[in-house]
Amino acid sequence: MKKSSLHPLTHILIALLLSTFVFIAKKPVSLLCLTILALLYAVWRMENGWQKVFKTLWHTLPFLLVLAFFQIVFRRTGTLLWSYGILKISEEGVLISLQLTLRLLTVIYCAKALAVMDYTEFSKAFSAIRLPEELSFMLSYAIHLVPKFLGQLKGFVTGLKLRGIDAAGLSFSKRLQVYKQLSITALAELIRSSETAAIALELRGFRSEGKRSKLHRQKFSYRDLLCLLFFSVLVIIVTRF
Amino acid sequence: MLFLQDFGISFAEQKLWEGINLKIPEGSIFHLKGPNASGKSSLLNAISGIIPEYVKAKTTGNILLGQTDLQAIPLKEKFHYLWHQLSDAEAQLFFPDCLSELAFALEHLALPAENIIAKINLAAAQFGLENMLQRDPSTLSGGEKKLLLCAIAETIDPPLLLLDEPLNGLDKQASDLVFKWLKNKKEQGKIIVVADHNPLMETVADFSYTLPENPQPLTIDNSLFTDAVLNLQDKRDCVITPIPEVLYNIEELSFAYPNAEFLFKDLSLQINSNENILLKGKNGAGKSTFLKLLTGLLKPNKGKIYLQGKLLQGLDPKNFAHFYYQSQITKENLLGISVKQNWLFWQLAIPELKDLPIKEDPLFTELSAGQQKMVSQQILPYMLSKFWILDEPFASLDENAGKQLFNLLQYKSRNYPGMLIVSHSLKAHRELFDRVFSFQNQTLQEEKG
Repeated sequence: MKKSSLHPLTHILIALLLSTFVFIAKKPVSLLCLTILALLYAVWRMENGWQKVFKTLWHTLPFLLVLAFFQIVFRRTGTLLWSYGILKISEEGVLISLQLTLRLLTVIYCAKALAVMDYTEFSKAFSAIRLPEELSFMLSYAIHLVPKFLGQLKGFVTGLKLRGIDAAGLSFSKRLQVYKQLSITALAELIRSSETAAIALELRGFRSEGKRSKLHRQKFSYRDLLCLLFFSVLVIIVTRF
Repeated sequence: MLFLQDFGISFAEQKLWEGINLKIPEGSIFHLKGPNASGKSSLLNAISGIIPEYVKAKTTGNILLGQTDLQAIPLKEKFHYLWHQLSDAEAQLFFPDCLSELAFALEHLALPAENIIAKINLAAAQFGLENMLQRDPSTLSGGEKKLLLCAIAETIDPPLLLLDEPLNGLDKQASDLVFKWLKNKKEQGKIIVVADHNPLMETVADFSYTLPENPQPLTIDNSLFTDAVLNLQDKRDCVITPIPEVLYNIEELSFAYPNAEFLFKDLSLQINSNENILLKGKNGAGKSTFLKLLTGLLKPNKGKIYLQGKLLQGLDPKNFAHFYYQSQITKENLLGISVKQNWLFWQLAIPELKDLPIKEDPLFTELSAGQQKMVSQQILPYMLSKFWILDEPFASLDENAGKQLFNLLQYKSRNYPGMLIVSHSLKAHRELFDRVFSFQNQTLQEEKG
């Protein structure tokens, strides 16, 4: 994880700000600006940021394109731009597909930026505003759910390779069957590991009654305020475009 | 005093055992014994409260720590009374660095920061972890993880310690540290309940207790496999390609984990396919890492590894023709969620394999750590012709299962030589091996004789 001198709460608020305003903004230019801001923010937060951001874009692109295609083809309202037989592309279809794609991308980048934070960071952030530690655990687990699931799946694929099985060499139906089974296993493992983590933490007093102390306290500083102010102003300006 | 009064556990409608009466005085080490699946971990889970709070089971009778009814206290408050070290050290570690692992409980005891630091430094020094406080626990060796858990127990310092396989994967030096710590805790008047297959535990325990037999155990009997091979009735090992003379050629290998010192530097070695090799070394010396480099799971920082004359460039399913690797972490050797599913994945790799000769299909979560290990080893008799790379194969196994595995290793060493084994349990069996290496000063030293 890239070390940041900012308070973890600042990072959560920035991500929240971007992912909220992207649903308030409607104009494509505003949305594009917010997506670029989220992208830059994710680059700032992650080690090898540019590489990871473009890798994410590359991996989500097929999904985003399919979604955009369905929006374009099945939205019939608004000015007709092009038609061929039953296929019609309307202005509203294009606009909505663009909105959806940019909003999803912004949320994905914000989630990526938050996923670099571990439980201790979430705990620091929430204890600063006196929220219960259960919430830190839940949010930290939820944010890491997809990376953890993918990590599990990757581990199983390694297990396959160590048995001499090259999944790419299997027939399509066999491959589907194998991945289905591995995905179910990964999901089961994810549920089991969340329970084990809860046990491991409770054995050390997690959720117990009484006061807490902190080994490393981090105070909300003027840098946090400045950073939040800067992002807020920027987000408001681009939303008003 | 810890009292168990007429205590019993049932899973669903199946009784594990009942009517257990135990009195364990302060200042004593109580050794809990029994074969795999006899319920040792379940008893520890019941005392700590994991059963029934997280693992659904019905308990009867009482558990008292002095005058305190432990069953009436929720798990989250138990850290004032006890520490429970689970058998799976990996699962119990959660934080991005060892310092946070050690600090978490102390923060929940609301100790001032300076006291937390003092306690952590003392505990870390006691278990030789001073230089690892900033390290990610997932990069620690299996033995170091166990020591970290002991250090956490030391910082909390409750009156009751429940330790599930604390010696698993520890070298002699680390085991001695744990024994010294246990004796110290005993002198301080703590009650220590330990479940461990290591016979050395007998030497420090004040009492030992063998759990009553589990009336309906989920049997994992690997003799179904090993006997078949040892009696030479069924040799279905699947030779894919003949193994060449020189299997590995390692040239000036260097490796270090991020933000850590080099585990080894400029290591050169040749391994022949018919050699039986034992690899020794202190916990954290790099034994498991070395095996991972040989399989392609890790990439060296410097140097080259040639497998059968070809440069090893990451994990390649084709390399499975030359070796069979088993990780120290059992779950990494299993696929699917149940015994039969794991076997189905093996049948996918080796279509000639017959169906598993068992009726039940237990889920891995229903099996003990030792049983899971046995399931992961069911394939071994079918892999005789390959070069075995096994990391701590005896960990978690009870005496019987250990003997079965030892017989198989003996058979392989004579009839199908070719293995590289990391084990703290095989040091006394020098005769099985052609060469014995140990990691010292960032390189491999061969032991003579």
